[in-house]
Amino acid sequence: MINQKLIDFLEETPYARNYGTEIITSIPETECVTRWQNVFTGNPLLRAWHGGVVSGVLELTGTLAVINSAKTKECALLSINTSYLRPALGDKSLFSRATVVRSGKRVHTVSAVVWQNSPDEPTAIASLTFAGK
Amino acid sequence: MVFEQGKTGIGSTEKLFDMFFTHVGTHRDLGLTLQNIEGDIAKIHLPFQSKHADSIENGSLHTTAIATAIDSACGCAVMLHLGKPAAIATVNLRIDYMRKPEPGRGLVIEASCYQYAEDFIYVGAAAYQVNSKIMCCNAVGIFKSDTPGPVLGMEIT
Repeated sequence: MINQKLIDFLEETPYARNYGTEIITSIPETECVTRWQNVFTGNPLLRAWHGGVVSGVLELTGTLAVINSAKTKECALLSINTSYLRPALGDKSLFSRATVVRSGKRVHTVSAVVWQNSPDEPTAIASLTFAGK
Repeated sequence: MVFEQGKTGIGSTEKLFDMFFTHVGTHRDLGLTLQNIEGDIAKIHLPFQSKHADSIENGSLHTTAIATAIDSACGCAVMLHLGKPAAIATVNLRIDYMRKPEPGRGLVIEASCYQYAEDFIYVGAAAYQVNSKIMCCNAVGIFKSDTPGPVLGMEIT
């Protein structure tokens, strides 16, 4: 089952539409899949995902998790700290999951992970801090 | 912040960066261009495009687009420091967002290496609104050079 607010957010937000990210589930945690597009290329010789796009997918998943849990429609990113663990290979989808660590009155802290083959082999992880409105 | 003097002696730095921006799909999509190089500081222009906006009406550049541009600008700073095309990988990147860019306006990202140790290169970057001293975000990153794999741009040196 998917929270309708998240589907609306993906459809109404230009940058999210550009990513083409789809929600797999929003209960209990937000999980998404982002399919490969040539415009995501970071290294054309390796045909790998751009690190910034990987970070963007983590952020988008984190944003959806905040909207899902905090009953807010808007949140602004204060900080993101991304660690890149493995190369993200092109032509393969990126799966992402975000968990709200704490959702306070104004500040929401989220951890997010992306993987390609298995969640046990994460491609990148991120810690995100959002300001809720 | 003390900037170490890099080895920026290659004659085709602009050509390398031009290739870096025109041959990489994400850079083309973002419309990234090299504004100029001042010593070890690479200045990269990120134009506003509605597809990278945070909302349909009166939108500003979204943080995901800024993050991608900052990652690329940091990569430029690393290559500027190394003085040659190299296979590099982002190990860690932290970005703090202080201010949302004004709607419809682009950003200029300034990136430079401030330290290096063995294969690890430490980069600082900041994004400013075009023609303004207003800082929108600040970033620090750790990059690794000489990672396995082919080197983009090696053929032009």
